Amino acid sequence: MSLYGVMRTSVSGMTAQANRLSTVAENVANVNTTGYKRSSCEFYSLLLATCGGNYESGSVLTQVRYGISGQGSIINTPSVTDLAISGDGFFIVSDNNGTPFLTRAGSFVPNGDGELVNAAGFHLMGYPLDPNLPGITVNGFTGLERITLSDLELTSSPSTSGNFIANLPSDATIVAAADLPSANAATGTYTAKSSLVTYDSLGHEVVVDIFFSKTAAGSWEMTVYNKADAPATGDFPYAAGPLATTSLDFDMTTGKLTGASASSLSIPIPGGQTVALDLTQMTQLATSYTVLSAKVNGNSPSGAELIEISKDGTVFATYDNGTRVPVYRIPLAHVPSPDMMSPLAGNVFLPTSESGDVQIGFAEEGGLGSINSGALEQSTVDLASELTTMIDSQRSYSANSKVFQTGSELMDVLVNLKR
Amino acid sequence: MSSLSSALNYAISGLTTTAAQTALVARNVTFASDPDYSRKIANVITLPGGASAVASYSRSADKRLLDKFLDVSSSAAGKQAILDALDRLSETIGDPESDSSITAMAGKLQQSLQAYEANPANGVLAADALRMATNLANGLNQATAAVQDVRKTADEEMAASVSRINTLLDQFKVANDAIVRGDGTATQLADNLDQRDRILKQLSEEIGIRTTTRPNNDIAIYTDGGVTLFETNPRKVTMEPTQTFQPGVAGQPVYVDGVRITGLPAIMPSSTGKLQGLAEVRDRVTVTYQTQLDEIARGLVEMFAESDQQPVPSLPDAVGLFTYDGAPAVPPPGIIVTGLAGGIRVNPLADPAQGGNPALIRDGGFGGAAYSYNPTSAAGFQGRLAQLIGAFETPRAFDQVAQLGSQASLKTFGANASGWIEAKRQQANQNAEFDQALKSRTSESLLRVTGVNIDEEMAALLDLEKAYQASSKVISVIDGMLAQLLEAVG
Repeated sequence: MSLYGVMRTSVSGMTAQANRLSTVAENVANVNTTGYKRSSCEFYSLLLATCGGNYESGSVLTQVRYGISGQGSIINTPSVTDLAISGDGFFIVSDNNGTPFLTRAGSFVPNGDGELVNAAGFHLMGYPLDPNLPGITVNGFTGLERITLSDLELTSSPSTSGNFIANLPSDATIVAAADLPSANAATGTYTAKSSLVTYDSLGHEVVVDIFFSKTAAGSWEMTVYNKADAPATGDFPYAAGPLATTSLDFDMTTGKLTGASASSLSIPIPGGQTVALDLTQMTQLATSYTVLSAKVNGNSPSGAELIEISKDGTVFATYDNGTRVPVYRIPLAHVPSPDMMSPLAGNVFLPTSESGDVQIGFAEEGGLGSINSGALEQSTVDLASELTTMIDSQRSYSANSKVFQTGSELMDVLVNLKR
Repeated sequence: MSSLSSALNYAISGLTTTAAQTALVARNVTFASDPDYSRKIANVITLPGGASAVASYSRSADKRLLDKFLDVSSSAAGKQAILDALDRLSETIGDPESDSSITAMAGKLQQSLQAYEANPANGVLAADALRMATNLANGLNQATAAVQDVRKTADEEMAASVSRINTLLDQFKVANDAIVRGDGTATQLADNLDQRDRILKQLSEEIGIRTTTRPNNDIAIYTDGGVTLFETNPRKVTMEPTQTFQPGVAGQPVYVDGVRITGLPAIMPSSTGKLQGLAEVRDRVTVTYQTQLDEIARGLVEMFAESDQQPVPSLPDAVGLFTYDGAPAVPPPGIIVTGLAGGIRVNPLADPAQGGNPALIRDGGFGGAAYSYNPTSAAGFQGRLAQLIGAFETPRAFDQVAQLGSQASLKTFGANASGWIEAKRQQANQNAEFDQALKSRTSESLLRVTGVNIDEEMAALLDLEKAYQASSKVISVIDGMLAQLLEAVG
C-alpha cells in the first residue's frame, strides 16, 4: 500500500504548495492595499503509524498565518482624515449593521451624513467628548458612536474669562471725582479707553468699553460699559450704568498692583455670563498707555471649519475664531495575540478565542501606538519576498509532482507485471 | 519592516518631498522682488517607519524688526505729509525773498509812500502808492485763500486716509480670521501671514500702530496712543469732512472706537502717521500761519487808521487807506481779528476807479472832514505821509497766538512771519529726510531677514536636484532588482 501512500503524500504536498501560491497571489494582489497584512503559509507534517518494515508516508498540512501585528510603512497624504497607526492597536470600525470590527485601514473620508467611512465602507467609531457627559468608561464596545463631522455645526460659547494687561501712564492728569466714567455724567472724561469683544449666551458679540481714569497718585478707576449704550455723540452719558467698576491701587516703587488692590474684575455680560477679567499683570509706569495683551474667550455661533486629529486620537473641531474644541476621541483596540485574529473581507479582523479578548485603550497610552493624521499605513507585502516564495513554491510543486509521477510509473510497472 | 517594497516607498516619498521643496524654491524665486514676500522654508520630517514628508512651512520673519519698521514708517509718513503741505503752501505764497512776498510788497508800499512824500503834489505818485497798497491787500487775500486751500486739501486727504484705514482694517479681518482658523494648506497659511504683514505695513503709513499677538496667532492692533483699532473685529474710524474752510473754522476731529485721536483736546492723541501729520497741518501749522497773516492785516489797518483832527477831538479813531468788514471802527491793538487778512481791502474812497481820490493818502480824511490832516488841501503837505512811513518802523502790540512775540514793528513782524513758515518747512524737510533714511535702513534690515536671496535659492535648487536624482536612482535600481526576480520566475 505504500505506493498509494507516496502518491497521496505528494498530492498533499502539491495541495500545500498550491495553498502557499494562493497566499502569494493574494499578497501580490494586495501589495498596495492600505492596512493589508501579508499572509503566509506554515506547514506541519502528519505522520502515520508505522509497523515493522512498512513505512507509510504521511502528509503535510497547511495553516495560513496572517502577520497582523506587522507594521506597514507609513506614507504621507494630504487628507487629515487619513489615519495611520504607528505601533500597536487597531481602529474600531463597524459595518452598516453596527457589528464592531478591528482594522488598520485608515483611509477615512466623510460620507453624505458626515460619518467617517473607510475604503471598505466601515464606519470609524469613537467616544463623543461632550463636556456635559460623564467621563468615558472604557468597557467593551459600549458607548462608542460613529464619528460624525456634520454634527459639529453651530456651536457658540459665552465668554467667561479673559485677561487684560496694560500699562497705565503714571504721569496722567487726575480726573475729578464728578467727571469719573463711573459717575456717567455728561462731563465725564477718562485717561485711557480700550474695547473688547465678548460673547453672550447666544453668541451675540457684545463689545465692552473699558475706561481707565486716574483718581489719585497710584490709584485708578476701571469702569466697564456696554458699547451698545454709548451716546451717538460725545463720550458720556451711556444709556445704562456701568457693567462693572473697580479701583486699582499701584505700588509707587514697583509700579505693580499692591497686594490689597483688586486684581480681577467680574463683568456681567448682558444676556451672557460673568467674565472674570484677570488684571494681575497691570502696571503703572512712566510711559504711555500701552495694551500688552487683551483676550476674552468665547466664540460666536459658527460651523466647525476644520478638523484636526491629534496623535492621541482626539478629534478637534476648529471654529471661526480659532477655538479648538475636542469633540471625539478615537480609541484603539488591542488583543493579546493579534496574529490569531480572523481576517475578514475589507481588511478587518475579528477577535477569536485564540486571539484573546478585546481591550480598549487610547493611543499613546498603555503601550498602544500613536495615530498619525494625514498618513496611511501601507500593506506589509514585500514583492521581492513574494516572488522568491513563488519560485520556491513552484519548484516544490514540481518536485511533488515528480514524486507523484514516479509513484504512478511504479504503479504502471506493477500493473504491467500481469500480462 | 525593511523590504524592497518599503525601500520603494521611501524613494517615492523622497521624490514627493523634493518636488514640494522645489515648488517652494520656485515660489521664493518668483516673489524675490516683492518686498512684502517673506522667504518660505519647508520643514521636512521623518514619518514613523522612515519615509519623509514636508510637515509645514515656516516663514523668515522678525517681529521685532517688523515692529520697528511699522514705527519708522508711521513717523516718516507723518513727517512727509507735513512737508508736502508746507511745500504746497510755500509754492503758493512764494519765497519770502521774492518780490511777490507779503514782506516785499509792504516794503514797496513804504518806498512808494516815500517817493510820494518827496513830491506830494504829484498825482502819478499817489496812484502808484495806491497800486502798491492794492497789491498788498490782494496779496494778503490770496495768501489767506491759499492757506485755507491747503487746509481743505489736508482735510480731504484725512477723510481719504480714514476711509483707507477702514478698508485696510476690513482686509485685515479677512486675513487675520483665516490665520486664526488655520484655513487652507500650509502654503496658503504662510501667504496669509505675508498678506497680514503687508496690510500692517500699509496701515502704519496712515496711522501709528502697535500690535499684540494673542493665542492662535491672533493679532490685536492699537494706535500709538493706545486706542483699540482691531480686536477680533475692526473698530470704526470716523471723521466728518468739512466742506468749506475759513479762518476760524476748525476741522472735525478723527474718532477711533469713539475716542478723539486728533484735534484739540484729543484724549488719546496719535503721534505718528499720515493722519496725524495732516491733522498737524490742518489744525496747527496753517492755523498759526493764518493768525500771522491776520495780525499783519490788522497791523496795516491800525497803522493807516486816522484819529480825529478837530481842535477838540471827540470822535473815535477810524480806518484809513486799509479797510475791512468791521469798518469804520479800528480793531483794538494786540488782539487778533480772525480772518482779517481775507477781508482786508483798499478803501474805495482812495480808488479813482470807484470814484475815489488817491490824494486822501496824503491828506487823510477817509472818515470824513473831521479826520482830515490837511483841511486846506495844501499840495505840498507832507506831515501825514511822514507819519505813515514812520509807522512801518514803530513797534506795536501783536497777539501772542501768532507765536511771533507781543511787540514788533510791522516790517519785522512780516519778515518774522515769512521766516517762521520757511523755518517750519526746512525743519519738516529735515525731519522727513531723516525719517525717510531711517525707514529705508530699517526696510533693508527687514529685507535681509525676510527677503529672498536668489543665490541661496539657487544653491538649494542644486541640492534638491541631486536629491531628486538620487531618489530616482534608487527607484530604478529597485526596478532592476524586481525585473531580475521576475526573470527568474519566467
